[in-house]
Amino acid sequence: LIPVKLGAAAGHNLFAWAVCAMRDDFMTMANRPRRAKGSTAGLRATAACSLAVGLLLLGAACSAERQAEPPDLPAPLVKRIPLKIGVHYTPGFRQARQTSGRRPWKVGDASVALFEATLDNLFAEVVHVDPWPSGDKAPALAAVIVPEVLGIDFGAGQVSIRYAVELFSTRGERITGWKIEGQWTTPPGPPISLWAAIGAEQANMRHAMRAAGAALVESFYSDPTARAWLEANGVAPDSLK
Amino acid sequence: MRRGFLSQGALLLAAAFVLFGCGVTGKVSRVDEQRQIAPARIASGDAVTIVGLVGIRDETLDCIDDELRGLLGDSQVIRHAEFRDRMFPWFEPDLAPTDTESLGKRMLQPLVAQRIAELHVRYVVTIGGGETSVQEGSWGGGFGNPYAIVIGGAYSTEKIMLSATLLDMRQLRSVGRIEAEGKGGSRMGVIVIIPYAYSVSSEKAACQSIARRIANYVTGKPQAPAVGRPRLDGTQATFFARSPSSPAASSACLMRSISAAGNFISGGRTVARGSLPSSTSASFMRLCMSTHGSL
Repeated sequence: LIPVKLGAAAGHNLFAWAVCAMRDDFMTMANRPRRAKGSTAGLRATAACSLAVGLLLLGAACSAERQAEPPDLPAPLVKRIPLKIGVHYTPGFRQARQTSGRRPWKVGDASVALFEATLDNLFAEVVHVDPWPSGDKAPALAAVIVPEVLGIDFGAGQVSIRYAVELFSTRGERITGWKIEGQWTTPPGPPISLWAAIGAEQANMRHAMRAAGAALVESFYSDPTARAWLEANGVAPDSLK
Repeated sequence: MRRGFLSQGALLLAAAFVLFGCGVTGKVSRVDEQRQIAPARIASGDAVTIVGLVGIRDETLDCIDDELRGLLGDSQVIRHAEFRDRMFPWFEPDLAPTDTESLGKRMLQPLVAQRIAELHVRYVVTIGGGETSVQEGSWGGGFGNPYAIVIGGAYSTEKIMLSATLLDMRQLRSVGRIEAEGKGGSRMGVIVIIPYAYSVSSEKAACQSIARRIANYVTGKPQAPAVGRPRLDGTQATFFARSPSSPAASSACLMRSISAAGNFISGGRTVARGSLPSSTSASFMRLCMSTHGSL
């Protein structure tokens, strides 16, 4: 695996250098046709510069924090749950990131987008509870959903993201809660290039986020805790799917 | 100056070859197994769609989609991404039904059944498997040629196995299963200062193979009768193989186990149907097991 990846990375750097040098060569020929023969100092400088830029880009791609893309979640094929709920995103949830491993991932924004898209399509009415209401100002809500990122795991071609779905009353008392998980595994294949491998990780994350969205929808109909909460609010889960 | 330009041109050409030489240059594939539980025939106006289970790449599903649309026509194939979106989340990779029992449960959901009817989906083909085995290695040296400037290189050989289960949305049952294996690999290295790389896509090979079988299946076309070694140029079927040396085996395999239709594993009541010969002395279980593995 390592020689193949190194070979691919070297190929890409070679290509980038050749393109830059070639372009510079064209420009030089076009602009300065009377350049002295045998002068290679300019070309060497161009090559060195191109190589350095390529290596810097490669290094940056390998170490920079990456942002998970918001999942593309279609409207679920269910009837809306006839309840008015609130949703509260804590600062920790909005800025959630996975810091261990080679390259950190920032998943807060994508996670907010995941819950926004899913809950908006799932419930009759969703209100944002931010800041948390106090006393008599609290709206009449069946519950306030407070999601939490439990963890993100990376394996060989595998991404798993786990959330806790916590339900609170508007007074801040915990009602119930359950966990969901979205994961995706891509079978190993021959690595063609390092860039492709980086792209594959992003794709795996996107798949895992979508799987988490699907799990969130499905949990309201299959998770015993969620079903019990719905039934306690006069909703028969099976009648909605 | 000109010399520098030419040398860089050569480098550019070589680098481009490294990058863009990674195309599909050939294929090796075979169909290992195909089991038909019930005859399938798609009618005009009906559609077929595929659903990828966990671990199947989008590229593989796109490939099968493209192949199927080429074989059946655009109007009879609903792309997997569109179907998944329209059915979200019930046909997501880890929620999609894979056998008769889970299909029956899913179709009990009125909204799902209604959407399936709206889309005129007759067959849902779940694509599973995707297990790959990769062999990797490297080489180097001059191979005894003092004039060859061989620096070295690396290779990997990949095999992928795909399986397709056909679910009849009208009869609410599994009607068949196909397995296909594709082999491919990639090589890269440097020979005489010219870097090279190429790749043979195993997924492409397997997807073309399985798409052709699905298309034949749902259109009721006869399947390839050959059995034996895999061929290099395409597919090979062992389904309903009529080996001249064992006619009893082939005739006995026309008897199918009804209760095995659900999961292809369990045994059960065996009945004769279809074009069963008037007599056969073969044992269904023994002969089918020996030819195709257990139904």
